[in-house]
Amino acid sequence: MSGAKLEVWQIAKRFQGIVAVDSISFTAEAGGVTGLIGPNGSGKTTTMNMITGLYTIDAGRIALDGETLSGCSPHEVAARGVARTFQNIRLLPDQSVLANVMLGTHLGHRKNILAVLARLPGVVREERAAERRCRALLDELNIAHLANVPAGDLSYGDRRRVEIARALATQPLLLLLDEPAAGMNHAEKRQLGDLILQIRSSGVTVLLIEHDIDLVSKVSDHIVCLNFGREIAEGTPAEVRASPAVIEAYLGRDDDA
Amino acid sequence: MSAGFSQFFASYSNIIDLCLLNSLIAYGLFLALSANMFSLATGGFMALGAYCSVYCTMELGWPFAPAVLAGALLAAAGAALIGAPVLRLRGDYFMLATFAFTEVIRVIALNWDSVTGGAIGIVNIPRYTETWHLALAVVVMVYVVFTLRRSYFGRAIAAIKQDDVVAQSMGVNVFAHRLSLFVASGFVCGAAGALAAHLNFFVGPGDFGLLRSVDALIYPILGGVNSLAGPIVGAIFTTLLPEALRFSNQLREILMGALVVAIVLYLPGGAMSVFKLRRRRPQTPGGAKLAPATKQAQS
Repeated sequence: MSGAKLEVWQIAKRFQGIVAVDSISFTAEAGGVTGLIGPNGSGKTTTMNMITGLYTIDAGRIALDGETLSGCSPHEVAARGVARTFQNIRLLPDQSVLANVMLGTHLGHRKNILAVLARLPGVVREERAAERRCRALLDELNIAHLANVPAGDLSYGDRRRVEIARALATQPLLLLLDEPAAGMNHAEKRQLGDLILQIRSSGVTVLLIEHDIDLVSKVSDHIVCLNFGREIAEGTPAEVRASPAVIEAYLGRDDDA
Repeated sequence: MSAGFSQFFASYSNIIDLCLLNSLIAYGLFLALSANMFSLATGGFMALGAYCSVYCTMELGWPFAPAVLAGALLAAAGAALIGAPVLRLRGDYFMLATFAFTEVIRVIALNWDSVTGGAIGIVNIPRYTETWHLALAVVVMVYVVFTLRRSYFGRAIAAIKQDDVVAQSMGVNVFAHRLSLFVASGFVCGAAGALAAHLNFFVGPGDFGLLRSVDALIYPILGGVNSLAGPIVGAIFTTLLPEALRFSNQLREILMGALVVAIVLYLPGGAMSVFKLRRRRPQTPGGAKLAPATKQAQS
């Protein structure tokens, strides 16, 4: 499996006159981890919602491997190989972990409702293969023992893992992670970092939105920093951390200097 | 033994037919409700199915089965036609729009004398519907719902019901799924209308109004919208209760109303959710299962 390259050109989004994203451009290279950082309200999640088609874009263009993605509805974006997790975890709480992850295999099924109703052998085989794949995923993410537990009963960190497993079950070319470390403790964050690197090594392109600058620096090949709906710095983790614009955005201007 | 059974059947066959018919309608609604579509179009769908099938058998001389199929297909076509614009509406507006559909069909039935018999309705409809037809239809519906729920389609629908943003993000075409369920609901309600018409000797525009639509919603809601058996339980209960309360007409209306309110308040998952609660409780020591995971996360 190899990842896809995401290109974003000068996209903009306004909500009733309020500019959420003014003009953002960046590229997430295929097979790499790109970090998207910035203070609250800088337009990170809006950008992600535009990429996944939940928001229409008011200007600009988004392309996946050179083909236009903007203008597609969310399920079409998903069908093109883009999967995501949500900032506020969105699992189906009364369904089992396995059932949640199985939802991610939706695109992989041949859509033939008559074959489903007749329980043709092909359908049963497909269903079993999907379940095997999901169980293997749960195993990779160290949550195999939770397969039959309702997702709502899980700890926070485990719920994040289930969400990532569900996204991976779609066999994505591009994985968007929206603040996956929010609310995690140190140990959980470290595990998450390892997990992201593991996903990267399987070839999937990752776009990581995150506040935790240490985590982003550790896993990203490239970081884009946003503020007020524009990108203010871009480069390797070291470059971005040293950038005066980034320091100013996070810590404020030093008036005494 | 068998004599006892046939005697029982002879005296109660009407009520058994009614229970089966209402169960069928309840499954029609169950399909719509499983994707959060609180449809009041049931009356309209049933009217389409009933008048169409009666026209086929009485005017065109068709055999029963193709007539029922024609009625169901016409109702499904009606669902597809109104579904495309109406499904974009949310919650209350969807309900109002489907109610308007039922009213439009009722008014047409009231005024199109040459086909529907107008306000007088159509009498002397041959009684083709047998108990086993109804039973077969209910069994088919149970099988369909059971099978769909175990498939990618069922998972997609469950996701749409709880969080359609998640469903879309996983590649589910929410609109197409909702439309296909709505059309299926129309088909089943249309078939139920056709079967009802050939059960009762008579159809009139009053049979398929708002009351019918609301009753049909109550069956699955009362029984449980998450449970396979919910629609049957709700339909049978709602059908039998008025019979048991025959002695007082007012009381039964009040009791039905109070019951629906109580269920919605205290058992939002419907009557069948009682069993689910009981089954889940012994599992909760699954908390013990959770422990290693948390430990792992902290290590």
